[in-house]
Amino acid sequence: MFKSKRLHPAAAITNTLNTLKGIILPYLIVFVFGGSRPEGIMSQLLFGSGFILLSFIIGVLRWRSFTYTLDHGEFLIEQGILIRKKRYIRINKIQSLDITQGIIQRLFNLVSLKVETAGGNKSNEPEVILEAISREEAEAITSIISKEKEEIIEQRLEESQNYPVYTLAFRQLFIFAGSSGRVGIVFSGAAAVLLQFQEVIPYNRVFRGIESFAASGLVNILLLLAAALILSYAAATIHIVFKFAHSTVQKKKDDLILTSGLFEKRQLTIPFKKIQAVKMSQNIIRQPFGYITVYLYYAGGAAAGKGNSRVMLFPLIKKNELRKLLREFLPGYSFEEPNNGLPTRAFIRYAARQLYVSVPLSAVMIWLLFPWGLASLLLIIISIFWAYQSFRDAAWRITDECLSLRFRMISRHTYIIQKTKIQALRIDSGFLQRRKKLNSIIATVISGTGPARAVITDLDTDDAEKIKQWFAPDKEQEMIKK
Amino acid sequence: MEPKNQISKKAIQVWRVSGFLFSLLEWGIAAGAVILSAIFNIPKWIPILLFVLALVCTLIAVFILPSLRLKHWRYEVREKEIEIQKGMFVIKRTLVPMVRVQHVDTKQGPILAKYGLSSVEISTAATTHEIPAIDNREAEQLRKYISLMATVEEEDV
Repeated sequence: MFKSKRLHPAAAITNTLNTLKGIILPYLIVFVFGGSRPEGIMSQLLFGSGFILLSFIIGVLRWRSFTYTLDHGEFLIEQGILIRKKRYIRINKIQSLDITQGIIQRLFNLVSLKVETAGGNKSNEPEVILEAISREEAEAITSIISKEKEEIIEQRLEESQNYPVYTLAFRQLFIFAGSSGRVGIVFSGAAAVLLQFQEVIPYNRVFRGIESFAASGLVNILLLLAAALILSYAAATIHIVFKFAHSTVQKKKDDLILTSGLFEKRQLTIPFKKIQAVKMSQNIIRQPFGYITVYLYYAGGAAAGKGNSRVMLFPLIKKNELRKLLREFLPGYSFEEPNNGLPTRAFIRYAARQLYVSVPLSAVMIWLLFPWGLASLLLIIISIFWAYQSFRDAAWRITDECLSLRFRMISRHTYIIQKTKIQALRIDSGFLQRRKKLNSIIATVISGTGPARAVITDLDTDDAEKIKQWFAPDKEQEMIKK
Repeated sequence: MEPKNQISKKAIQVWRVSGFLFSLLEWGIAAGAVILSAIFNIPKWIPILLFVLALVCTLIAVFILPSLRLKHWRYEVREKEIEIQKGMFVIKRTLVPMVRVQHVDTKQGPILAKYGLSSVEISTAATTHEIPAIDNREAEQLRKYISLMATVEEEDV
């Protein structure tokens, strides 16, 4: 019913780019910065274009040698320039199909289709990417596969106005990008790259002016640093804006459909029954402004990137919109704020855990640099304040079929987990905890890169017992009998 | 209310043997230090200290830890859930609902085999839980029972 097919020729271009992406770093190391680089600008250029041409030839050959067939309940991929490889995937083993559109695909009005099988975190599972096919072809493959799997084909043209749609507002996109705290990474990355190019860019000449400028005072150096920081901050912000622009969440009958991206569009379909947990996080920058990020954990390998099955549902929403939105988009979850806190005696343990670190640290500082080291006493005050915050933030709540756990690592997290999605519940009682009738409670859920754990430390033993009673299947049965 | 089953008493022997074998490593390090101190100019007290440490560790690993560990290891397999308790200083009690269990393995290393014991490993989609050192026959029964109970209610992950 399906003949063996080739991809659209544009795949040759994406193949070329992929090859180039693979060799650019080794190329730079060996031929640009390395000892064996060719002399002179001309030979550099010649060499470089030679490599590009070679990659292009490989790209074309790869496109020529790649065919796919869909037949008799099997998906067959043949590829390989010198060594022919065949890969069969049983259609009923296919877990998810993801359609994405990169820049090259956009130019030719094509899409790329990613076929994934079960076990998203096992690297040896087969997985196939059809780099460039027409949208109609992708739809055809999708519908054949879903028909084979005897699933109800989700109508793409389904009237979406019946279902709620959420769109990330422009203003919030910018606030989100600006408060993400990813500046540090970009800054250090930029610094590393700039240092690499020492040989190419005549820093001496560039900096000669700056040096005399810098010589005139520490203030100028600081100004320069600040400028660099602001630049990397802007770069980080722009990157995030691109990635999360046009973020929408669409609710269908059984699925949530997430899309995002300005240049590279991503679409992700998550069936409701695959959702494992909802996490709401507030980092310290966003918390004072009442902004929250909502994540979804879900099972099954779908392409949120690198087999990771955690995705941002709402990048940034105001606290007062939260409940309404979540009720609308996530039925079966209750979003009451956790209201059962920790007993006061737990605070001593929270404080102690912070002070074990901060007191010796500040003692050493004072001892080493006497008068100035006294400033490190501030560290102790901050650590006590931090302990108090963490103590205040830890809370739990049981509502019908959901367990909500709130705690602070650096950001404040609230997990909401349905009873049937908790894989295991662990209750710890440490030596010192037992004397104070305190316990820690750990709920484990599935997440892409290993289990995700929601942990509340030092809650009252009676409370821990209550949560256990709620979770335990056997005891629940007895209660019903009574 | 603790889980009611203890693991096999023979586990003490198993842990003694494995503890002893493991502490040979420490004796090896101490012996190495003697040789090094003969060749290089290393103060005498270092190898002596290492020997004392190795001795103390061996005594603890062979005579003290195994019986303590046995006392704290408990498990119970009920109709719809499995409860496991372990740990001395931090007591960890884990509750796994039967319907969450994906598969059950029994494992047996050479030392366990010599004493006719096996360990049972219970895996959910996200976690793995071990019951160490129970009788071969009991382990097999447990494995069968859990697989049977776990398949009663098939649920989507």
